[in-house]
Amino acid sequence: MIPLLALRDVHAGYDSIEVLHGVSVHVDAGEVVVLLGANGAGKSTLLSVASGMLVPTAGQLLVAGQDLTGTGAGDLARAGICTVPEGRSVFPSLTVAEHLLMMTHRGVSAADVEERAYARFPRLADRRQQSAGDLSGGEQQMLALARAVATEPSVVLVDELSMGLAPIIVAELFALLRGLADDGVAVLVVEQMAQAALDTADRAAVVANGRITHEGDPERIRSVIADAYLGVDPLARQETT
Amino acid sequence: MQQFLSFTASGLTSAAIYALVASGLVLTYTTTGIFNFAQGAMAMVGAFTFWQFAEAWGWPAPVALVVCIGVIGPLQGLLVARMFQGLERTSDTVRLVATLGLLLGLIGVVHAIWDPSVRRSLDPFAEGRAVTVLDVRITYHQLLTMAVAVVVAAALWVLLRHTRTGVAMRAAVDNRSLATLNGARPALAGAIAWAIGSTLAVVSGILVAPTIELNALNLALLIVNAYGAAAIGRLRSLPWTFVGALVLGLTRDYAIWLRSDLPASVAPYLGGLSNAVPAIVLLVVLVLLPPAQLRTSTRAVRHEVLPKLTWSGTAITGVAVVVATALVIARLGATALLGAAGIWGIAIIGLSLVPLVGYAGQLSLAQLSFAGVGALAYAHLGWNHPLGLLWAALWGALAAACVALPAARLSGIYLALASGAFALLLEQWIFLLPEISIFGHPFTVFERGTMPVARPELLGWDLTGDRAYALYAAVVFSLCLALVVAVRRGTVGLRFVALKDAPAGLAATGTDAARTKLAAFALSGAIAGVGGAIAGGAATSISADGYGMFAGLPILLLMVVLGIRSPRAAIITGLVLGGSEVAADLPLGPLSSAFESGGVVQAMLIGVAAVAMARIPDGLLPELSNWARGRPWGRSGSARSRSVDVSGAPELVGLRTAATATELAALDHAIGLSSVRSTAGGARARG
Ligand SMILES: Nc1ncnc2c1ncn2[C@@H]1O[C@H](COP(=O)(O)OP(=O)(O)O)[C@@H](O)[C@H]1O
Ligand SMILES: [Mg+2]
Repeated sequence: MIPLLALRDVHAGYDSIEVLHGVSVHVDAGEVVVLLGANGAGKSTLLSVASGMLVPTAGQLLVAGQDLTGTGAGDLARAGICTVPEGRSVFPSLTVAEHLLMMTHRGVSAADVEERAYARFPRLADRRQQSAGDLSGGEQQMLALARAVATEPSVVLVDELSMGLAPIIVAELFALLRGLADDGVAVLVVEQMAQAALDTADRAAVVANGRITHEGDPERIRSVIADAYLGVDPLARQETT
Repeated sequence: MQQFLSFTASGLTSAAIYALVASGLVLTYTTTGIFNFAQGAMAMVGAFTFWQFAEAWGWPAPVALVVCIGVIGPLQGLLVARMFQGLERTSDTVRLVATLGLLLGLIGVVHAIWDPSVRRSLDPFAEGRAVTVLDVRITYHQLLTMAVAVVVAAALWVLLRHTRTGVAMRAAVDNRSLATLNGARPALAGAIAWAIGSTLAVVSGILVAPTIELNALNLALLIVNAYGAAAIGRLRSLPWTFVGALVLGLTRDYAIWLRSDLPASVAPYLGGLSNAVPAIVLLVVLVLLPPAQLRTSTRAVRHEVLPKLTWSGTAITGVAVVVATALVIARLGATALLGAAGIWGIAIIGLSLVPLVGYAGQLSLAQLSFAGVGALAYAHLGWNHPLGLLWAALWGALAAACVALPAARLSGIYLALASGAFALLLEQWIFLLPEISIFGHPFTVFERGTMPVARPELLGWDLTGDRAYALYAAVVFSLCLALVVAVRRGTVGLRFVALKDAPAGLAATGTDAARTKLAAFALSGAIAGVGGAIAGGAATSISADGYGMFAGLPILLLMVVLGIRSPRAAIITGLVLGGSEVAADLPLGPLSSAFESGGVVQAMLIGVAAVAMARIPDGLLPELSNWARGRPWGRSGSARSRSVDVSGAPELVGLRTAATATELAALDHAIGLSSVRSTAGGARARG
């Protein structure tokens, strides 16, 4: 089976500083893959490469087997790669309704976008005419994720899904991602809250110092992380197992 | 009552014009971050092309109108969008200069195509037809103007609120990369904004042209008034911009009405004030609006190269300036000699921009006004001793402080606008005041429009002859150059640079930013004042109309194009702007004739500058010196790619992760501290 999204031996960085030193990840259709790792490990950089915001200096970005290395982020977005970057990824001065209007870029009609988004997040319907800047953190994250629901993407990339949110909302959002994957979407999530993420994930990988140090089923990664608390620190270890 | 209504009608018409111009301005500013000082010049292009089609070629008015609005407007906008590609990532200074360059370039182009000595006028639409409402005659043209403004307001509202393209344009302002991830095309949004902005300018130009003579500078200036409306809209909100246009249009026309009723005793004093109303409104709005609302959006900005200055290099430059002047003046004729001293006057004014704009990053459009105040003080003093220049410096500094104090918390484009408003206020009101009485002493600002300026004598040396005075001017320039170098190499200069490149670092060292800013303005104003006095002495007289905002633009532009952080750029600025008479007198072959038509050469240079600034943001001189050292993209190249995003301001590079020694060195270099490390190591912005 050809994975929907694959990074192959990617090197990337900023200016002359290399951050990723040869990273390979793949996500199949219908799969939730979670990336774990310490701050500054290079997780966000990896997602930037996958979304087209950052062009790798070496290696490839493959979408459904097709080499799309160097394709612009806007083109990838229109092609169905939906990225929810780190932080509150909404436009503070746009209203909720205007955000939904932006989500018609894949050809889904405005009416359909509204219907799907409000069906999934009824709370947003009450906030239609409010500026996104005035929403609560959870509502903002919902609005950002509405794009994943409404635009019929084939790949969804989410950075720091749970940052600053109450656990109950986080559970809700993970359930949403699970649902998307069950519909055949390839989901790649970067997470700090390892437990909730590992409960949802089909596969997990640990990033440290710009390399994938561990990869496998969630239970195995869970034990690796448990080891970390017992003094063996896999998150900081250089060599691949 | 009847008068009130009729001035209300004309005020509403002015308001409609301001609204058209200002909304185009706000649209391009919010989508591209570029405040388009050339908006008025674009309107001028529209008016002149319409005149060409409808009057010169006799096309039917509707056809000419469709071609102007459907082709000329969008085409002009798209060309400019193409020219300004990449400008978003440059500094405020470079962005400002690029559009000012476009302004002067367009005026140059219009002058080249349509001989300015020929009088042209446009007829109003439906000439002679009018309706009468409540006894007030309102022409069809006025009605049309107001109707167009209302339609444009509605259309813009629909575009920006209810179409995907418009919403995406606003989204790109909030967060450009997130907009891209939403499938938007920010570059396309920018191009659309430029096309709409330019078309709005063309429309306003065609509508306003029949009410004034078709004169390039007139049109460009008239529309400066619209900036106040945009400022009330905080350069962001279209509804508030329309409110601003109403306030401005009505205030201006009521002021004209009140002027006609003023008692004869005060009329001469307040008469000019009514012309300056838009400038005053602009200044008041800028100073009073809460700072948070007036913050220019932060974006990825690269750091500029800061050329090193050595004492030996400065000494060589200074001596070369004096010796070259001595050699050249020996062979000049009488007319050319007058120009020779003027070169150094302009060069000193150009030099005054280096500490203020180059080091401290404070934009000033009032530099020539500071020079004017200095020249005026010097002329009134009438002391023919070189120390009289100190008096000019003092007054130049005071004038600059008048800008710096109320504008203490303004920066970037807002500071540029405030200083521009100050310049307009001086030029349209203060410099034109008749005799006033200060503590019982009668005082005339400019006697009969011009003031004689005395040339100095020193220790029995007569410096009043043209040759001697030119040499004296060169010496004064060299002394000013030494002053700037001394400042740059000392702690004060370090603070100036920190104010621009690392404001957080400046605060961390306990230095007050407002005081540093005041010091930069005062120093710069003082040097400009000296420059004004020297230039005044060169011409032996000064006149009220010599110190306008527009007149000062070429100096700022050339300085930035050449390298605003390079004091030597001032020499070339002086030569280019003041040297045409001298060059025409020198055996330069075909080049001399090029200089004879000085205006065209300047317009060309400036046009090129506007195009080039996005590519050479450090200016020509730093680029050339890199190139001469055999590394065309070497040092400034690495600084160029060091663009930092909002979340990663330079001060933070060392905080998020432990910075390597190379990173720190690059950081030091980028903020210009590498050369002064030994003198002020403590001030380094290390995390
Ligand atoms: N825009 C940027 N410019 C320069 N360096 C950056 C930038 N973004 C991230 N980095 C650096 O890249 C490394 C990896 O960062 P990141 O991918 O954000 O890590 P994570 O998301 O795992 O916390 C860090 O050392 C960080 O400082
Ligand atoms: Mg991250």
